[in-house]
Amino acid sequence: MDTIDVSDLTKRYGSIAAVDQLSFSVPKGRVTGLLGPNGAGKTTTLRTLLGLIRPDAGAATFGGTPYHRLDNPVRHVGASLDTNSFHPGRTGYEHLRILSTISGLDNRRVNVVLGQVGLEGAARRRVGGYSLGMRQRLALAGALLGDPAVLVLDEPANGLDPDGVRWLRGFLRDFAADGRTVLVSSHMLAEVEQTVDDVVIISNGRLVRHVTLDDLALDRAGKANGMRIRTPQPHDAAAALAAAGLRVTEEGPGVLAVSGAPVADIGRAVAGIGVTIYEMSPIEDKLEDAFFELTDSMRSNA
Amino acid sequence: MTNLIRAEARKLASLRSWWILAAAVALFPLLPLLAMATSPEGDQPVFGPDTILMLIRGGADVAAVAALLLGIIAVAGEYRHGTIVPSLLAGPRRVPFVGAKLITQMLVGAVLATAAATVSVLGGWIYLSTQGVDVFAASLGDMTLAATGVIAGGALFGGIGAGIGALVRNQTAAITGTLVWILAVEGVLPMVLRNPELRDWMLTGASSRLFHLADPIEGMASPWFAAGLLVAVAATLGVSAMGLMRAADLE
Repeated sequence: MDTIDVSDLTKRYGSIAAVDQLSFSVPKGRVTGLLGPNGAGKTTTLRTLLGLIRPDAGAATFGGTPYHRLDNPVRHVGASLDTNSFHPGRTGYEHLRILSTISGLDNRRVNVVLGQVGLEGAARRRVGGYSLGMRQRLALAGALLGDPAVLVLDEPANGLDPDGVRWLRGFLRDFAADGRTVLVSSHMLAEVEQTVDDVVIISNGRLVRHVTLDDLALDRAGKANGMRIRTPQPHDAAAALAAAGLRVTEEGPGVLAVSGAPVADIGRAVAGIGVTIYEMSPIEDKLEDAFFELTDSMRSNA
Repeated sequence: MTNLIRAEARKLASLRSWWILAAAVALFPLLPLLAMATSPEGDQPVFGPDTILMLIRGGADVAAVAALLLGIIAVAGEYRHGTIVPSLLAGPRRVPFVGAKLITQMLVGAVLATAAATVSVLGGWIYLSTQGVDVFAASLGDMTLAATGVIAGGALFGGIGAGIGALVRNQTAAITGTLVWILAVEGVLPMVLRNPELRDWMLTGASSRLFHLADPIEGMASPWFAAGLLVAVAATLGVSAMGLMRAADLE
């Protein structure tokens, strides 16, 4: 029950397939990112996994058991789907007390999880006065109430300040290091790049890639992205490079990006007219670019 | 199921608005007493032993409407505030979830009606005693019967409200529609159709007959028929709500 298995999952709304024969699995001890642009089907997938939406076909289970068939599910799976799932007139403490009462948990867990997410000081305040970041922490506290082996979080970094993002990153890494399972959704790879081990990239409800983050980075390493040149004579350099048949774009004052040629050709072209060069470095590829390429190609194929 | 009912009770008790409404319902029966006490001497109604029954019924109407609205809010409010999601994640079995809502709201209706009836009896007893009326000339049996009808009515209206809330889901639409129905349609329909007996089949008609458990109104449906009708309405709404909840996707 500490792994997540999604198999041929399909959910249609009329003629639109929100999720289309999606299959992937999430092993324990790892943080897996469910990534895709808005409308890709991430939330529908998570809600189906948690029994809030019924699939038209396929299954989404925890080690083969659907969420609603788990014995006292919050002891196995903690989930946070929405930062707007609180009554504004209720205190954070009472919100968690209600959840612990439903699940028959020891009420002392409420104070424990409030401490874990750093909300002890605001626990007796009404949720209506909470910031988005505080609501995010309260939602996470609710997910942790049952001390689960699996965490399912929908866009958990939304609304967190940089300190909060760093705290969340560390928390999720520690949680997985304990041999537990984390599935976290995001529409931005950059947001979870430092947190996840694996990525499941979906677009238009379909699986695009399921790969480790390391493999995704390796895929990109071989692709040429050109060189960046910093020079006090950008106009002369640009003219020389263009004359040599290279593609040149101005990135900023005194900074040129050159693509379509080996570094030796670029060097020869600018040296030939005596241009001073302060820096010549390869343009680093970002994983985010790989993500956008993958999802864009899927969307244009749809 | 016990945990679900305890959690439902906690949901209510953790909101200040609930306590304000409950206090208003409990204290409402004092208003007619206040009106009696402050009316000019010649305009004062003639008090008798059955005045206490009238006071019990006056508070019951407010308690029943409050129970109805609270029942709607208890369920439709979960959708309005999105709390339905964490509630169902903590306890994903939906039929018991709706069942707990219905039971809790019936208990809440009964508690509100009991509070209103208690304040009616105590307030009435104190005030009427100063007017030289022997309240207990009305038999204790009649008062018990009247209170039973009132408490049963409150409970059934709480259940009906929860059923409406679960079926309609939109809190504003559910409250507006229900108030328009009981305050306007139920009053107008028997007149438009020229069929006064139709009131026996309506929520407000049935409740007023049930509240007359101690002193049935002649020529109208019996309180037992009214109770049966309200039970049937609550059960139908409850079963429909469970069916809808089982099949519904929560987007």
